[in-house]
Amino acid sequence: MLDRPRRKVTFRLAWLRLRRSPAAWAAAAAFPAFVLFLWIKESYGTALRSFLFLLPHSFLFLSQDMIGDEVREGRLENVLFLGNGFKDYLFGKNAVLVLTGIVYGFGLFIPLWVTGLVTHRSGWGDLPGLAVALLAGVYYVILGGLLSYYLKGGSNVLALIVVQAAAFMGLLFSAAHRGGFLDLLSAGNFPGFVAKLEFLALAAILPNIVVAGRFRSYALWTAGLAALVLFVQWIKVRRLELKRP
Amino acid sequence: MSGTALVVHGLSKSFAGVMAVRDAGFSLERGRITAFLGENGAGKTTTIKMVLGFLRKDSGKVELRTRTLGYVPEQPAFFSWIKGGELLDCTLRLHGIPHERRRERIATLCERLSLDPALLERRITSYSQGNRKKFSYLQSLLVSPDLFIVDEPFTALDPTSIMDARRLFRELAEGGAAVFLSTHLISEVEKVYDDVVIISAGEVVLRKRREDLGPWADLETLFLSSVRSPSLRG
Repeated sequence: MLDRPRRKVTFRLAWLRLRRSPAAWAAAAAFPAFVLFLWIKESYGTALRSFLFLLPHSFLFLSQDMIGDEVREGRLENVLFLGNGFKDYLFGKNAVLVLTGIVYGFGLFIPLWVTGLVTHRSGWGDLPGLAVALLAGVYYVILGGLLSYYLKGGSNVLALIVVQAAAFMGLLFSAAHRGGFLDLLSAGNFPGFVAKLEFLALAAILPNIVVAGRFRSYALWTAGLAALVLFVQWIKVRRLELKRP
Repeated sequence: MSGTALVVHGLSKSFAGVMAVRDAGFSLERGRITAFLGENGAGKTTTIKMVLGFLRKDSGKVELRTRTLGYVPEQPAFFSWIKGGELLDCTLRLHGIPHERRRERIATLCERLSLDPALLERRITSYSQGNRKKFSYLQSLLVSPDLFIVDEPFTALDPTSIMDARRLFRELAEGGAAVFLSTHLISEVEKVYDDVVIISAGEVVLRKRREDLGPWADLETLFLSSVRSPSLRG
């Protein structure tokens, strides 16, 4: 647990980094613009569903270049991070980014949802969707953080998106077979161990999928994965050394 | 002002099976300037990083008997997105220094280090190498360290700044701090040291107080004879 001054400094540094990141601003602006576009071009319902499905990705963009470069380039060899200070800072960043993502998510959701309430197009039933979307977002921050120990620059985010694109292509190919995985997905039912395992693997790389109403019972899987990856990250950060290549 | 600020016992570290530091031991006294000498790759920086907690030690013990620690790395690196003033503010916050005292303290140190205060409004990565080093000194000195560790203290500094740095080390020592200067620039550190620790191929081969060396001793001869004949261990 961080003491109060260290918590404040971790928050300030992580927040300054985000504030000065053009990529973070671009992602933060593009997402509501896209939702607004869907609202205008399609319908409120499509916009709300797309918002909930895509919200976790805004957390993923927050985790861009979260850890690795700061360690590799020696920026943590500073009086601010003496002793285990650099470890506390790196691990504490998870909390700052999660909090930022949650505030951002709520900030966008509330006007969208309230507008729907007033016009009878949304209801209390949308709130569990938001909760699951935020949970998937938390998982992305933690996973993105872990990947950034190994991957340079923003390639932690890119790597995950490439894996997701590959999974998507795999889904498309599965549509060629009758009773393929895509059919099971649309039915929301996975008979047999292998099909269940395939879904869990998909949810591990694309947690957004559990936002869909029929898959919300798998949110526990996402929460468990988040806890597991956080634990792995904690072990990684405890053993971390500041070595310059 | 006396007493021990740091005791290091049997410190060892290896990287991929190669021993970088072997069974290193020394202590640092308050009120004294210790020169930590060694050739390139002798294990100076690795030893310092273990003392500071940046590297895990394979074995040994580091006893810090200080409240505040200052550290200036050989080549200070900073976040690309932060301004000097913001990093200083974080440093002062971390040490609980009241807001009203921050500005005055920063101004005094800027003057002392001949660092233009206007630079603090700019991102640190836009500074020259010399100013980055001075900024690193400034950041470390803000917390009034009891133990001040500097890796290659004179690198990137111009002659005037080197003289200022030497004066600064003496003032810190007279104020009761232990000053630890890791360098291979013997001629500069010779003008200011009180104690010397020499490390060669990862082993501490000599620990001496200046007064025990006798008036004949010059540091360069002592260094060369120590690294060539490790039997001189103090």
